[in-house]
Amino acid sequence: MDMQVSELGGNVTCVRLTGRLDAPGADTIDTRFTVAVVAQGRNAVIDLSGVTFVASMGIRLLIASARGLRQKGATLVLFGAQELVYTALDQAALDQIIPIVATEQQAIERLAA
Amino acid sequence: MGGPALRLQLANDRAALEPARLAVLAFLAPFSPSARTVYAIELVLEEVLTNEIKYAFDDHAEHPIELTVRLEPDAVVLHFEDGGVAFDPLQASAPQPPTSIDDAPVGGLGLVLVRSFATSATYERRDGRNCLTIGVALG
Repeated sequence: MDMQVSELGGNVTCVRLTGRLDAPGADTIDTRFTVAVVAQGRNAVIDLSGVTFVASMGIRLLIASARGLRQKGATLVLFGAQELVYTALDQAALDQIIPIVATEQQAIERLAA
Repeated sequence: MGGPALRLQLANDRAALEPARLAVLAFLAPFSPSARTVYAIELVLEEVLTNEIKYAFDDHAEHPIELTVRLEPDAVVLHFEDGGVAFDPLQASAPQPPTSIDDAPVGGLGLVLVRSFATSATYERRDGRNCLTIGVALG
């Protein structure tokens, strides 16, 4: 599991994840991801296009981060999930609590809405 | 019954997850399972084994978990056995779908995913052992 953090225009944090967001993958990035996303307290978009697998530990990390950001008045948006990853997120009803969109542009628009 | 099978004995340690996943994938590779079948199998392996490692044993000693993966004409059947405390994960109530980020439950998600990706699941307590059998459609 790898992650790259950048800053987009409009004071938005962007984290691009690559690899398997399974239990070992979530363990690998847990602290770095939380620091990059929650500690900043800014709106954030997460690029899932490089994520090939997600299981419950990975979903928990996303929920915990989205919750931490919300407590700071900011929003987390996910984009780019591959088909089977999207299916898993959908079955976990994650889209009920975290916006999930197809593209980076839609994610940025969602933050601006 | 009688299809090719892989038997593994795993330690109740998270470090056992990745070698188990790779061994199962190597066993299935000659049968060219679809991406969805592979995803479902990986999900079942991860969620069931993580659960067993976390909850089946109330000491810190090493205990074996036995995994059998059997190929049937239209399914891959995963059978998990451990000698831990009796626990039927199929009887655990699924969490309510979350309505907001503030009340979203973080527990129970693994079982929701297993139920969603598997096509069959049975649990039996036999001779003091937890026996969980989960089927995944072979596509």
